[in-house]
Amino acid sequence: MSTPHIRAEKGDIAKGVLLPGDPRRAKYIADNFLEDPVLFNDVRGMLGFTGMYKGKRLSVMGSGMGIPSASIYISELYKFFDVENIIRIGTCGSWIDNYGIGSVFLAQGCSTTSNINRKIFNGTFCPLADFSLLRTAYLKSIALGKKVKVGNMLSSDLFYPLADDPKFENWKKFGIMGVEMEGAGLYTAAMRFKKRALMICTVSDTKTDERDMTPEERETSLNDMIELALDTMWEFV
Amino acid sequence: MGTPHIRAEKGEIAERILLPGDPLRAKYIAEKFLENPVLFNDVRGILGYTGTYKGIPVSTMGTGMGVPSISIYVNELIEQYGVKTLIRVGTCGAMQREISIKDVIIASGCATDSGLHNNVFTGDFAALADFEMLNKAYELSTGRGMKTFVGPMLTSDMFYGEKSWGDERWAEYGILGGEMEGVALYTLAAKYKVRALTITTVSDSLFDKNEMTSEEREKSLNDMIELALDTVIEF
Repeated sequence: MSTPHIRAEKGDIAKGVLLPGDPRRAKYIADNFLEDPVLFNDVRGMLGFTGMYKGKRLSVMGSGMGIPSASIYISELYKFFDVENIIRIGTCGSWIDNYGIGSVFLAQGCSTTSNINRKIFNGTFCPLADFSLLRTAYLKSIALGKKVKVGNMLSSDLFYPLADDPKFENWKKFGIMGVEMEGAGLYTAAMRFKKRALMICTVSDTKTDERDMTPEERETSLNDMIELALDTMWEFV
Repeated sequence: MGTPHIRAEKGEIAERILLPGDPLRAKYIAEKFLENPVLFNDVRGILGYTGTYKGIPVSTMGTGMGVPSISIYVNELIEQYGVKTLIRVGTCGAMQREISIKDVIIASGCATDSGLHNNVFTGDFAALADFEMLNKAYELSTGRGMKTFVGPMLTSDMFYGEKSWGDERWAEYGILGGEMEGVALYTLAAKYKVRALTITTVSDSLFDKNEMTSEEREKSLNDMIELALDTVIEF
């Protein structure tokens, strides 16, 4: 059985899936961190692999960019492939001074400019990480000696804004640590399907750093984040 | 000097405060749990006291009911009195079947039907608890065997509202319970970069028709207050 976007059988995907935006990062993780990785999907180039990590089976797949793309894969993984846990590992922009390239955020919850929840709720929803995944990742980061910041991330629809937003500064004023493009979609879906989700982000660009990451650096120097995600997921599969 | 709502001098209110909705609960907390409590406010009957808990200065004050009321007090406490650590201790209604009367719900974030965010953000703001306080309260609570749920709370404007579109969605998407102040506390804490947490005891449930006896009410309230006090003094 497959879905329109993932050509795999139910058993091909593990209970825990790491979800980078970039399918080439999924391949990088499979090649460098998993034993005996097997490709389970290449529809639309959205590579997905299942392999072993420290004796346990888990999967990794790309999601594409933006809530609409990511939500397709997330919904299919949770609903049709019986995935229980998704950890998105992504790049983000940082809005915290002196917390630049390579720094790690754990998203306790996601604010968003997306409309998805306006249609569902007669009010303002609050997309949140699964607390047990969040807490495990936080404790693991301490054990690994890796500094993380836990808090509010903004999931934005537009990498390039269409026009100036006079209220934009308020996100930062109210404590948003950084910005990416999928988190609120992941958390909303997990809450809807009563599954677990967590987003771990690493900083790829800042307003203040000398330069942004090159695509090669983005692809490979995210190892701290990847290891944290794998070690956290390991506890849940 | 005071504010329009709090008749206290600077220094009369501690940096750490417990905030029940009910001012009589503030009186109860002060008299039962704090050493040497001193009344610092009774304007509009919103009683506030400062004392010590395990030797550390802690205040407690009522907030009244609803986002507008708590927003007044929290703004003044932070801006005028330098309060830095705030824990709301309240009641809530459970919205999930597996949560019963007397269980504890700690809000990691608050959804809302309030319009407080209108014109502030171009989108949905996630009003979140301070993570370190949340984590500490969770550890203390589970450590002492209290049945504890951590997750999203709904802060609503209307205790008696009309049935409306989307009512059933909140619970469908995992909202644990409903109360009337949390989103305001978290939003203001984010704005002023102070620490805040909302701890509630379930006083009623859509699914559990049991009622607490008055002894149970007092005991579950005491457990929650102690949890809040033991958390607040760590920050």
